[in-house]
Amino acid sequence: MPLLEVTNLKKVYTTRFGGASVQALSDVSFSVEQGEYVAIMGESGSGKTTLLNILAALDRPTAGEVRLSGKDMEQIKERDLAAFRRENLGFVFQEFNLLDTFSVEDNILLPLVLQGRTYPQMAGALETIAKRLHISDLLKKYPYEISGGQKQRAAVARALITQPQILLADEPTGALDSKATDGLLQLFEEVNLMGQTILMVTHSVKAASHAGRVLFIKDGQVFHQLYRGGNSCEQFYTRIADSLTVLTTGGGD
Amino acid sequence: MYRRLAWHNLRHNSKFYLPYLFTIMGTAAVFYIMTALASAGDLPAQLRYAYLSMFMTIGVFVVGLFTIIFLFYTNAFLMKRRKKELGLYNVLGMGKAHIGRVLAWETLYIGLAGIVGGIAFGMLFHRLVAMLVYKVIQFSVGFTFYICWSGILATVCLFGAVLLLNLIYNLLTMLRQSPVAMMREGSAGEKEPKTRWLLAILGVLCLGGGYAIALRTKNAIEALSLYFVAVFLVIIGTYCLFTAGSIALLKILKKNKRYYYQTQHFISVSGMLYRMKRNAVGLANICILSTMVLVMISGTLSLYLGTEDIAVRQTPADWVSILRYNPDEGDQPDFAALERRIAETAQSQGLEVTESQSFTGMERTFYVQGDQLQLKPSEQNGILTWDADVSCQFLSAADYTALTGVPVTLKPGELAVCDPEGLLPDQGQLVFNAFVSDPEPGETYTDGGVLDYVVTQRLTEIPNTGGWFPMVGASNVIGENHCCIVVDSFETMLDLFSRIYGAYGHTNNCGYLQWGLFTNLSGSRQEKLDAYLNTFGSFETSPDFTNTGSWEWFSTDSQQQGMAEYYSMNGGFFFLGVFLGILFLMATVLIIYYKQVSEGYEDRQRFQIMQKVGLERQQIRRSINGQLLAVFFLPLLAAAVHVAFDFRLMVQLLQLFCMDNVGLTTLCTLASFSVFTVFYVLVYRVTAKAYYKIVA
Repeated sequence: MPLLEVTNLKKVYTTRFGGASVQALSDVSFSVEQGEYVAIMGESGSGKTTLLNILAALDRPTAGEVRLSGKDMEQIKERDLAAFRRENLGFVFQEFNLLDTFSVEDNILLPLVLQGRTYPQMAGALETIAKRLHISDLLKKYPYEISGGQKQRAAVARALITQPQILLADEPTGALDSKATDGLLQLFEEVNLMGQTILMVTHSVKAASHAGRVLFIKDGQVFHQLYRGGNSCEQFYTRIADSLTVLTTGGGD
Repeated sequence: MYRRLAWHNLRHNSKFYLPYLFTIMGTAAVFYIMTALASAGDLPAQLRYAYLSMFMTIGVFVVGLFTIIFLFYTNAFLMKRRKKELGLYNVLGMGKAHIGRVLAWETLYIGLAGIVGGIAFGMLFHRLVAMLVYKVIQFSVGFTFYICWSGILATVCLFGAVLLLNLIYNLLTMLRQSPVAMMREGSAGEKEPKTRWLLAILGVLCLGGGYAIALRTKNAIEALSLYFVAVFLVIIGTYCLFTAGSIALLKILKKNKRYYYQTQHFISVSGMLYRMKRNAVGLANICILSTMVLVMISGTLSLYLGTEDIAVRQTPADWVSILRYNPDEGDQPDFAALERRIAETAQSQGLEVTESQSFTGMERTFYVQGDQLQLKPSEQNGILTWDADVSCQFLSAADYTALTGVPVTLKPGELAVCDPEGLLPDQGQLVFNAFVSDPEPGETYTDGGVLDYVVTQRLTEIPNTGGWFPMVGASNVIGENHCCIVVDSFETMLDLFSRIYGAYGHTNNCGYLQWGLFTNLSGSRQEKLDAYLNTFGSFETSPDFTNTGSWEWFSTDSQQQGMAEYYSMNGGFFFLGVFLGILFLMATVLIIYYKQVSEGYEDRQRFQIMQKVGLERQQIRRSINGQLLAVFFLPLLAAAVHVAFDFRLMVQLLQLFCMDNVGLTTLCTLASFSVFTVFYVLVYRVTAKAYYKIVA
């Protein structure tokens, strides 16, 4: 059984007075296996963000279903959704979304505090994750005191500390310089090697070339997918770039 | 182009600029009305109406000062919010000179609308306000509408100058900063506040000191001299505790990891920490303004409502006549003739005497030394010492009974005393020691000897003899150490007076015997007032008192005139209190509104992040609600505590105005607080709505 299963997902936005409606997703189906590292690519407006919001249970689909470990997310009651998100999903965002009012340590602990863990439990989990992500010496600092790359590491630590079934990343390299980008992608590869399932939305070819599989979305549908197989990053990069060229020059019709 | 841009900016930022405009209009209107009333041209130049002009002049200064501070505060707040926008213009290629021109146009628009609108409102409401004031001070002359040109000039000058200074301030801050720094201003990461223990401790000390003064003052004079010290300490303490104290407390909570790392505490403690850092000064402002409003309104209200009481206490009968004489210098007043003359005077004005009551008394200070009451302090090695000094009012048993209705029977050598503080020994001696230390030429001192006495009756009622000095009445509550001594007969009192007269060197330094006459009249209040003004009102019309024996001094007071006088004073006071109270209330509301709106913008982002990280909407709402409530009602709570401590001081200060009806003052304070709280909650509701609209 795949970890994440998406079938015939459809999302239509209607304006409040029922005027024009916009179809963000028309028919999306794919699945992600345990331990996979999947990148989703597409142009702006292709429906990537809508898809991620639905996967994150921040938005409900118009039709179709999403199953996580076999559980239909549609069935989860509204008031349990936040808890479900907390227990099963980890998020990394483009603009980090660290809270300025908390120290790095407290930012990372936030999900555990929300889960109602005791402090000794939290302290243990924090130490492990901080060592793994090399941020032990940042813990007492505040978000405004550290660099973008460091902030994103802290955000990753916050996402992983709950040991989520799947890590959802929305343009995680979008706000980083190239050096920090390399660092983050390497980090993603490392955690993936340790068995963490990752689903990343991006339009950076470089970021996608580190994934095991790339899905291309266009006009609200999965248009194409590439497996990395035995390719090196550079080779995979070229293949992705080629596919994108086909995609944007209107191929496939 | 610049004008259009300025207009566009104002409209775009109307959420911030509309309240600013209203503030300018409101304060300008209040300022105009105050100046117009201070120079009220339609009031007769009688003495008692001069109070109004005096109070309004004070009001003009308070409002003026307040306007300056408050408009600076508001402007600084607005500029802070707009730096990002101005920085963007700069980056987009507008020179600083151009932005300056836009700012100048904005100021011009706001200033014109605010000042012209304010004066227009002021003129409109001037009439209404004047009518209210005249009603409050019980002044019944018709009102004529007029335009106070000097008021307009003063308003335009003051507000023009303040707005110009604000513009200069804005231009200077803009020139000093680079556009990038300006753009970053809004989103700059806030440092976690540091605990400033010194300030927190200073706050505790100041507040404690202020409260201690409020609890320990012994009488009105002390209360007056220390009042502003206490107010100053409490204000300093409030600022320190709101800024440093709150943060110190939250930091302590944060240090306790078991407490801090729990879902509710985690978010609210850290949230409050930043809220307090940003808003502490604003909250302290709200707290102090609220306290001022409450104290001012409850104090002046109880004074105003107690006016009638005060006048009656001061002048217990319609006419109170006091005569002073010295029998040892040969004065022999004809009391019956005097009483007849007063009755004739009333009749000449068409009024009948319904009640007439007279009594004789004297007042003297004695120094208690062991079981002796001495006329002067003892001297030991050049140092004057005494156990207590008591100012005693002497009355005969018959007069005491007539004034109070309490029966007293005494034999010679026996005394009945009303001595609330228990200063007089039950058995002892009255010592009439002569003042011989430094005799002037021609003065001869006679030692008056020693009289043994026994107190056979302790009385509870102090007779109300009216007046301020030297008769000690219930109204004369200034200071302490007062008592009333009742002797067996009029003859005993004459004997005491002679002894004192001798001890004082046979001069009038010893004071006089006092004869008082209470006269009640038929007729309405106005008739009685007119009758008094027509007869005793001035030297020319004063009745002829020839053939009434010989005496030193005679004067008659009217209860009705006292009342008119008190109404004009206390009414003016009350009006000033309410007017300034409303102004401060307006300021409070504006500060609250700005606080809510700016916090809304800051919280929106945090709210969204928390939701993404997995906090339930409801949980966030509950947490924010809690923080909001705490931040909102903390100042009110602190104000309530301030007022509670201030209450004793206020009661003592009111005694300076002869107002000692503590029950009424309590009632007024509670009523003011209740009304204020209702208003405060209402403001909370409205501004919280604005807040949630931004956040959600």
